[in-house]
Amino acid sequence: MHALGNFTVSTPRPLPVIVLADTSGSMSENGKVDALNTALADMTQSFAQDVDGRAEIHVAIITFGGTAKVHLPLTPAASMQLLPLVATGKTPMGDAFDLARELIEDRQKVPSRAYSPVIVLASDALPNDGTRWEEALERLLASERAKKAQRFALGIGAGVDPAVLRKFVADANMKIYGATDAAEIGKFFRWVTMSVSTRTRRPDPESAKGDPLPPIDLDELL
Amino acid sequence: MIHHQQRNAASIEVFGATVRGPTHIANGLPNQDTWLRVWTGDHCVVVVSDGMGSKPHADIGSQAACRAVVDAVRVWRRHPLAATEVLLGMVHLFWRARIAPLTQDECACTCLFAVVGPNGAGVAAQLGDGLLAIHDGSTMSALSSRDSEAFVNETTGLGLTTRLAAWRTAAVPAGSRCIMLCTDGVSDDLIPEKLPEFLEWLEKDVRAMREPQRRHFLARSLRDWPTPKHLDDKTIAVACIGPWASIRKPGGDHSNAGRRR
Repeated sequence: MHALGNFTVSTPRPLPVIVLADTSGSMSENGKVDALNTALADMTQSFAQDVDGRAEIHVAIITFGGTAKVHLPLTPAASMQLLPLVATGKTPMGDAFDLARELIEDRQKVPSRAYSPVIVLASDALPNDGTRWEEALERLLASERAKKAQRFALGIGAGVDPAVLRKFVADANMKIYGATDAAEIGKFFRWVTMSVSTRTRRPDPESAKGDPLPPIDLDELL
Repeated sequence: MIHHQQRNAASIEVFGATVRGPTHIANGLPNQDTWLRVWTGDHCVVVVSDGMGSKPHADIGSQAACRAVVDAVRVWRRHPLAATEVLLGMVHLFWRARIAPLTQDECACTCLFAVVGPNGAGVAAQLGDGLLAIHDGSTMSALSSRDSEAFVNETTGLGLTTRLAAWRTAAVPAGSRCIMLCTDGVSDDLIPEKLPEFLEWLEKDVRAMREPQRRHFLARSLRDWPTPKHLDDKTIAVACIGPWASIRKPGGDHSNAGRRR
């Protein structure tokens, strides 16, 4: 055995991707949750096949429908088993923000040798947890670790409030995106996939947080 | 030049290696890490510096950092009452002098060093990421390698800050047996719980090898780094402090710091 192998970690540096998926009851309409399931499956499969990247992509899925919960803990994409999302209940977006922040602040799960995380928010509705979502978002954006995450936002359908997504992204230069059908949901997640994969292939994945392929800009759609 | 102070109560043996990482090899870029060992008077100085990959003259910056520490120690050791902060301030000033006319931002780099005097005691300091660990035979202390809120490649260094408070410092107590300095290409992949064992391995097994086999062994070990998808240049320097049963042949000064700066 390589002598240094006794003292070194045997896993590559992780790049965490945390998906905040709206699974409220309205997502069951017009095949939205089915489209989201398909898009997430495609994305994680692409990540699993990304063996040439310079980081190991880990994926976590946090759902918020009725209650917010960790649907899939942070897991290397290559070894994850994705169970389909089921849409039901209200939209407790604030609790999902808190779960994401707690995950990123957990140094056992997201160590300092990790590349800064990516958070993807996909929602079709207004949060209906009063002011909780705003308070939780403030906590997320104030967290020394969580605020460094690269954030992507997708509004699904016409019921979404772009202001909520814009506040989540909290970057005037970062677009927010809209999708009205399954094809556009898939397109958004393909773009996220491309963006993350491009980042892992750069010599320094930390310096490559860009928009390689812009999908539909929500500001233009609404 | 005095290589090995026979008159010292403590005998110091320093060894190390630096290698280019896969990213720089693939892109035809030079090693941006530098390490240096120098005996100045009756003090031993060991320095490791990691030039920041995004900076165009990071390699020059790290070479200048190693030389600047030696410049600063040469002045500082003549003034026994001068505080460590004085030494750190001089490191910044000599580094700026050595990189001129390049700008600080173009040459940004980390800086980790240890200065050990004739009684085996000294001082260690670290600006930016990497790891500096001191083993006294029974316990190990380490300067924190990275801000606890940070992710990989988020660091500070010469050229990015002039705040002396950004340095982490530690006394090297008399009786210390081993000081290990390494860049983040090494430290990020070390298992924290196994650090004492790692230092012991360096101090006993690796130190027992003869040169040049030891240097070649270390370089090969760094080049064949076991962690998958590793990218960075890697540098490690180890100062072992005796006395030992047999005084080893002096190793002399070492540097990959070049002569430009």
